[in-house]
Formats: sequence, C-alpha cells, structure tokens
Amino acid sequence: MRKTLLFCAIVLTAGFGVVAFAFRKSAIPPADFTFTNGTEPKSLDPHIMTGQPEGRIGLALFEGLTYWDPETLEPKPGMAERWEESPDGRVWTFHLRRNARWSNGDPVTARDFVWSWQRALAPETASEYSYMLWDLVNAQQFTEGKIRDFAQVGLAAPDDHTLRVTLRTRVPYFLDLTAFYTLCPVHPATVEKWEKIGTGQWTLPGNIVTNGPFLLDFWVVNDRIRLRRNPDYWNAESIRLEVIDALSMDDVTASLNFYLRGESDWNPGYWPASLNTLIMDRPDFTRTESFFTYYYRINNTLPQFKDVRVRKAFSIAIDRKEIVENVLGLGEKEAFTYVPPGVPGYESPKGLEYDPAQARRLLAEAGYPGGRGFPSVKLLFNTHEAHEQIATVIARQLRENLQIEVQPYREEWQAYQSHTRTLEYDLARAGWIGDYLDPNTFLDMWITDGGNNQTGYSNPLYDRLYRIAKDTPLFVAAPEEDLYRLLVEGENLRSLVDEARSLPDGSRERALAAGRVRMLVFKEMERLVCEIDVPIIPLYFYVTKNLVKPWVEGCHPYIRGPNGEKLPNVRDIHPLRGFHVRPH
Amino acid sequence: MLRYILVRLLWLPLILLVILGITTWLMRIAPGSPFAAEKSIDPQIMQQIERKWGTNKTGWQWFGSYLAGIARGDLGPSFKVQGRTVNDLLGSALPVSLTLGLLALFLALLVGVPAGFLAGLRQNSIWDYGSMAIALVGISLPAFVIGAFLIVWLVFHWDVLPVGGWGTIDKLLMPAVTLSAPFAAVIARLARAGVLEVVHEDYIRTAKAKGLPKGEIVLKHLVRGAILPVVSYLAPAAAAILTGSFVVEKLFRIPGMGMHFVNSALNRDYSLVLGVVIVYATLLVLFNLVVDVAYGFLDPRVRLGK
Repeated sequence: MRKTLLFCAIVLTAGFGVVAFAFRKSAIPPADFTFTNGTEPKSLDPHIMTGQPEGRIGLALFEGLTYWDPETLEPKPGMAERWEESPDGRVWTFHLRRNARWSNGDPVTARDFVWSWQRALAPETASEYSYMLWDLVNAQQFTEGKIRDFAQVGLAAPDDHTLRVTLRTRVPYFLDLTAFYTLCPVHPATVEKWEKIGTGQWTLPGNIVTNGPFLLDFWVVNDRIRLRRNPDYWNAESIRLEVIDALSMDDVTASLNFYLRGESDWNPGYWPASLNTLIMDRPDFTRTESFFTYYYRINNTLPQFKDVRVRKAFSIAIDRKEIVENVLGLGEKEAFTYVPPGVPGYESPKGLEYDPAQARRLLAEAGYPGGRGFPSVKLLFNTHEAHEQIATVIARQLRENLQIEVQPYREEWQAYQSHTRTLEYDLARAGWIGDYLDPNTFLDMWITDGGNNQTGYSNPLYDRLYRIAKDTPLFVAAPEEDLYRLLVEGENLRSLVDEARSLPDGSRERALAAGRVRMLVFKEMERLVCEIDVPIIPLYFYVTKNLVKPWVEGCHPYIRGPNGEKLPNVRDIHPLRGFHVRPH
Repeated sequence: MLRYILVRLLWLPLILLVILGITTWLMRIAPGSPFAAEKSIDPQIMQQIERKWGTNKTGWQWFGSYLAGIARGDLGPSFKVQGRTVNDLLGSALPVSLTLGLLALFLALLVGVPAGFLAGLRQNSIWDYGSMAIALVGISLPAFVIGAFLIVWLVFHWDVLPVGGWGTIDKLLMPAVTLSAPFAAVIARLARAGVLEVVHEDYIRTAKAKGLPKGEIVLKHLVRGAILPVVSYLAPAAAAILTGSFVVEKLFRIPGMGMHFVNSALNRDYSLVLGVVIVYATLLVLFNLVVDVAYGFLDPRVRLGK
C-alpha cells in the first residue's frame, strides 16, 4: 500500500514538474494593441508575400516610395518626399528623402529601389506579384526571361536620391502601386547575406532589416508576430502605438472568442459566417462594400456548355436576391457584372438579370426543352460552410427553373484548385479580389489561355480589346476603324477616340482622354463576359466586415474621398500605422 | 533483455524508411502543389520556384536528397512558412504538445484507472453503470464539442479561465481536459475489462482462499494483471496524445504539433509532412517498445529475450 502511495506521489510530482518546467519563463508583457490576423503569414518578404495577413505586417515593416494615408488611402510621400510626372504620364522622377534610414542605420537610396525592383521582377525570385511592376517598360519581358539585361527595363537611379521610372503608358493609379508591398524596397546586403544560407532566412527576427514605421520584435509560428515602433522612422512622431501583437489564428471560432473576451482589439472579419446574424447588431460591428466578387466558372469546353444560350440560361436562372438576402444577409449586393462598383471613372454594363422564363426559352432553343437531355451537372466548391450553403441553394434554383439536375460537391483547397486549373469540373465556385482600383485587375484574366481564366473561354474580340486597353495611346494614335462596328457602344468609343485625337500629342489632356477611351474599352470587355459570351456567372459582391473595440481608432470602414465625401473602403485596407488606442 | 531492446531499436530506421517512402509517394500523387496559389502563377515562374525548392526532381531523386538531409540531421526547409526549417518548427511545436500531452495523459490515467477499477470491482452496481455511462459520453463526444462546452461554461459563463493561447498554467487546463477525455474513457473501459478478466482467475481465488485481506488482494495481485490492457493501450495513446491534436490546438489556439499535422498536408508542405511523420512514427515505435518491456515486469507469463 505504501509503495502504491509513493508511486502516485512520484507520478504527481513528475506531472506538475513538467508543467512548471514548461512555464518557467514568465509570460510576455501584453501589447498596446492586439488583433487577430488570420492564418500564419507564409512569409515576411515583401516580394514573396501575398494575402491580407501578410500585407498588414508587410506595410508595417516596410515602406515604398509612397504609403497609403490611413484615413483617405491616398498615396502620400513615403520614401520619396516629392516627385514629378511627365505630361504624358509615362516618366516619373522620384526624389528620395535624405533622412530615410534602414533599421540598421544605412540610408535608403535609389539604388536600393533599383536592386529591390529588379529582385521583385527577376524570374529567380519567383514573386507571385511581380506583375504589379509590369507597367514599367520591358519589365514583363524581364520577368519572362525574354530580356536578360535589366538596363533595358524602365528604371534608373541617376544618383542616390533620384529614381526615374519609365512606364509603357500612362498608369493613373501608379502612385497607388508604389505604396503596395511588392514595390517596397528591401535591404540588399541583408538579403544577399542570408539568402545564401536559406530562402527567407533574412526575414527572421534578428536578421531582418526594415525601413517602415514598425520593427519586427519577435515571431512565434502559429502564435504571434510582435511589432515595435521604429524610433528612427522618418515620420516616427506620427506613429502612436508602441507595441502591436498580430495573433495568428487558423480557427475563426477561436478568433471570435479572443475578440469577445477582450484578448484582441480588432477582428477583421474572422468569424464563422453562420454567426453573422448574431454579430451584425453589435455596436462594434462595421461592414463595407468590397472589391471582391463571388462567381461561378462555367467549363466552356464541355459540349453542353459550348452553346452560349445554355450559359446564358444558367446565369439568368439563378436568383441572386435569394442568396444575398436569405443565405448571406450582411448587405451583400447581387452581382450581374464582374467588376465591383468603386473604380473611379468606370461604369460597368448592365449585365443579365434574373429571368427564369427566358432561361427556359434559351435552354429549349439550345435543344434541351424542359431540361430534357441535359446531362446532370456537378458543381464544385472548396470546402467551406458558406460555399456549401450557396451551392445548395443554386442547385435547387437550377433544378426548379431549368429542370436540370445539379449536384454540389466539395474538394479541399488544393484539389479544388488543381481541378479548376485543369478544367476537370462542370461548374466551379470562385472568388476574385481586386489588387488595385482599376478594372484591369478583374478583366485581364479572361484573355485566351490567361493563367486565371480556367474556363476555356476564348474570344478574339476580347483579346483584341485587352491589347488596346494595355496601350490605349497607341490605339488613339492609330485607331482600328473596323473595331467600332463590332461593339455595342462602338460609336461612343469612336467619338471618345476622335476627341482624344484632337488634343495635342504628349499633352496631359490627351493622356486623360485616352484614359476615358480605356475605361470604355474595359466596359465592352466586361459586356462580353457578363452579357454576350457569359463564360462565368457573377453572383454577388462581398462585404468586408470588422469588429473593433470602441477604444480603438484607425480602422476606417469608410474613407474620406478627395472632396471630403465618405467612400467605402472597398479594398479593406487598414494600415497599422494609423491605429491608436484610447485609454480604457 | 538488453539485446531485445537493441534489436527492436535497430528496426526503427527501417520502419521509418518504409513509412517515409509511402508518405512521399502519397504526397506526390495528391493533386496540387506546395506552391499553388489562388492566382495562377506563370509556368516559367513556377519552374523557377520548383527548381529553387528542388521539387522539380522526380520522386525518387527528391526522396534521396531528403534522406541525405536527414542523415545530417536536417529535416529541410518548410515550403509554406518561408524562412523556417522543419527543425525550427518542430523544435518550437513539439515541447508545447509534449507538455500538454503529458498533462492530458496524466489526467486520463488519474481519472480512467480508478474509475475502471471501481466499475470492475463493483460490477453491475450503480458505480459500474455510472462510470461506464460517463465513459461512453467521453468516447462519443468529439473534442470540439467538449472543448466548446468548456469554453462556453468556464470562459463565457463563469469567467474563471482564459479563452485560449499558451504561456501560463491556467491556459493549459481546458485543453488538457478536452484532450484527455476520450483517452480517460477508453482507459476506464479497458481497466474495467481487465479487472473482470482477472477477478475470476485461479490465482485470485487462491489468494482469497488463503484468507488475504481484500485490499491486499486487489493491490498486490489484481492490479498487476488487470492493468495489462491499459498498458498496451498506452503505447499508441501516448504517441497520439503527445504529438498533439489538431482540433484541440485550433479550438484553444495552441502553437503545437497538431496544427502542423493537418496544415502541412493541406498545404502540401512536403518536408514538414515528413517531419511530423518522423516524430510520430518514432514515438509510436519507442512507446510500443516501452510497453513490451513493461509487460515483462508486469506479466509473469512474459519474459523477454529468452
């Protein structure tokens, strides 16, 4: 008996010893501001990172030529203190500020930018976002390996503080791009030193050298990234938070729990969609329109979907209203077009509205009266509660309106992506977030064999319009007369082109007029995708949602427009530099 | 005895080799790629990425260079968490899972063994039905239900424990209880079955006939035999519990091994998948060995190395 007791005592002591040993280090002091940041960032290298959790950290650690003002999201002078734009908008000269320093004390020079942009573009770096720099002359060719000599790319540093950028054509949103993380500089010596040892090693705490408003304090995988205010940042006095914790959390329920229990001050939309209706009445809940479209791809290569009447019938047989009101319910907008509203100077076509009677007629014309003879359709979605609900509703609508059997099925993310890419699907769920406020970020994907097309859709007219949108000044200088009669708004386009041609070559007015031509070309492209050829079915525009504690300032669901008007923060960008916590 | 242990240990590398080979093959035939992204990547860029990480090699070549790395003690870089090696990731996650797992295992034994013994010794009594009913619940309820209930009550209702995370002892309690529940339930049922089997054995009857006091019979003779099923269950249980649970770690946001188990596979993070497989397989083999050795001490019918 005594032996047994002794044994139990030993086991008990050992058990508690283990626990005590594990926590011998005292808990870390709390941060001034903590937020839930979604899944673990896959990289802190601004040229490698993609995605929102990475972007939030990336723009706290690094700063490009410009940065987004947190209240207006307008590009403000960052590493560049001023710049000049040539009248035709093709040549930009940036003057770097002399007091800009890396966190190791080195000055930030124009050469660092040249080195960094070359790195972001170089095929070896394999940057997924290298195309953000493809507006530079010859940049795309450099990434594709067609040009080996970087001197041919439109980028030069005449001296340490001057950076000259030459674009293929005027890019109205170029200063917006220079604030994006892919265009941020990295410290050449640091990257070179550590990349020899291992990919990404230079981004680890202790190794990393940064130039942004915050420094990387520590980074525990699957736990948190701690940021600390950079006292040597050129604009350090504008930064009001000392310590920020970004919590990595895979689980949306845990994310919500942390926020509700006050362990996190800001939750940028990470909670189960099924709880939306409970959360939306909270006073700390906000929502905004977003630059994010939810849609279905149609496999245009399948015999039953080759007929455009069938694709149209599917699109207009879906009642989007039921989805946004009954399934989603957060104020999402029905989508009849692909580009979400919010691009300055751009207007989408009307798109095709819900019309089940017309859908049945179209299907009958295509040889399937009452859905007879139409093979059953499989609807692929990636494993997610909300996707499943939507797919179920749409399957029912198609069954009721077209008498076509639709079977939703799920696949985990990797298999889903792989099968979408290889066109092994009938219908497939998809979503697209715009990278910058321009229709191009949505419309460049539907060109023939485009990497993100994944529908088999191909229309030479679309490809032609895309080519024109890429270099509108060239089209204005040498218009292709036969194009106008191929377009719905061909005559409008002709008059816009004529107007641009009447303006002096190389003038700003002409560049702006060419910009209007470009927007109309985009409208015709979107018309092809949403009204005429219908390779996809747009369903709804997302809303972005945030939960913010009342003592937090700096999360702006609505931003201030150029004339003081209130605009939705459609890109859901909330720079950490703008956050501030009131005593509570 | 020593020789027996040595021979079993020598088998370990071979077992690992076979497991790693099968895992590599399964990963290579799974659709997708460690570098697939939502936005399609230019094929040329994809080639560069694959060359950089060495995944452009055939399965055999890749496996060969991976094994060469292991020989140097290098488990390779993680494809998904860039800048981290698998050694780094496991080095920080394994202690977390070990701590939590040991505590959970301890709880499971502390609850399961006495409950099972009580049930077995008082067969068909209220104690038996009671503890077996609870055990049934423990086995049937998945961790995300038990964990969610604990969070709702202890965190949101009574406000006595933190909602999750890692770093202080109070954060450890709910995950440890959640993790231990199914194991405690299985242990209780096994212990009960063990008692029932042994109670009618001749040697127990002999002890009774000798007029030994009941307490002595139970502690000296019965426990030793009745605990055997529990001991053999402990090997796989310990390997599973010590390498963490995806559900528990997700629910309570614990930076342990369980997350890597599932996420590495979903991400096709080849070297991290193999890394966790190595850890799990090694623990499994070692614990099985420990159990077999323990049998030699507990069960007089088993003698090793003879």
